[in-house]
Amino acid sequence: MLAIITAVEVALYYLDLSRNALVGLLLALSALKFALVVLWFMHLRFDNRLFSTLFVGGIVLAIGIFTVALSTVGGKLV
Amino acid sequence: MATSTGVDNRKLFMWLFLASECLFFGSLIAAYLLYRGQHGVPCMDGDLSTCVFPTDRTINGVEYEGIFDIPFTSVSAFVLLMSSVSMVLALAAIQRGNVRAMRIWLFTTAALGALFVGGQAFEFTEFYREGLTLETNLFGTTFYVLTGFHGAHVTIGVLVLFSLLIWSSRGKIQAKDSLNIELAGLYWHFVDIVWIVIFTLIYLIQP
Repeated sequence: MLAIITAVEVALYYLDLSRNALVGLLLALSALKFALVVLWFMHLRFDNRLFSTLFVGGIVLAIGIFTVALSTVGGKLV
Repeated sequence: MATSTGVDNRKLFMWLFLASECLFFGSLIAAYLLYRGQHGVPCMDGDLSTCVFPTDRTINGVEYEGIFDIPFTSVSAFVLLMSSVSMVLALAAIQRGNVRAMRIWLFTTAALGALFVGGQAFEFTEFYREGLTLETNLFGTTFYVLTGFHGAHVTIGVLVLFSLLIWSSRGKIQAKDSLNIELAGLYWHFVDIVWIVIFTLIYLIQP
């Protein structure tokens, strides 16, 4: 499944898609792969909720830093 | 091991560590996205007016947009994903009490990790030959720092896996010790998901 998603991502990179469509699809597929690994390989789906809270907290803080840094200096994601 | 939280302290520590690592890599990725495509010139004597960040994408006069070898990096990403699968199989094996199968899958995971690091070393060497160094521009600095730190994490993971292999060869890892493999697996999968993000944001979504 993960290998197939990676292959689709690379195929999309070579397709003549609009930039917005390409970025949207790549981000969605990347998020799907991320979720699959975290929920099943790292057992977060079945494990104690405390671990989920800690990890999601870290991700939220990281995205917060990311957003503040980009918006403060005027950077762009794409 | 009973604790007031109801979970093993070692596992709790590992998840706390991984949460802090999210911040670490989040900062590096944000820095990369801020500075990519910028050919920075160092400030002179702290005078901000001398900090020039034109938006050209050249490295010593050469366009860098085509510097990434997507097919090569895709194979590297595939290798790291497959190492996560073999790590899952190693944990499943030790939980069944099958130490021999665990050793085989641990070795497979470590070997795939080493292959990934070798690929990264090759990629870095190629970029240096193209003229992209740590000092060339802000793209070079942030790219090498981000991917270099990820590579260092993978290298540490490979060393941990080989340590576990040596430990198990001395009979020190049995089914009751499966938490050791689980903790190593959590770290390994985290390194994998960081690469999932890097591969998409840095390699596939270019400016």
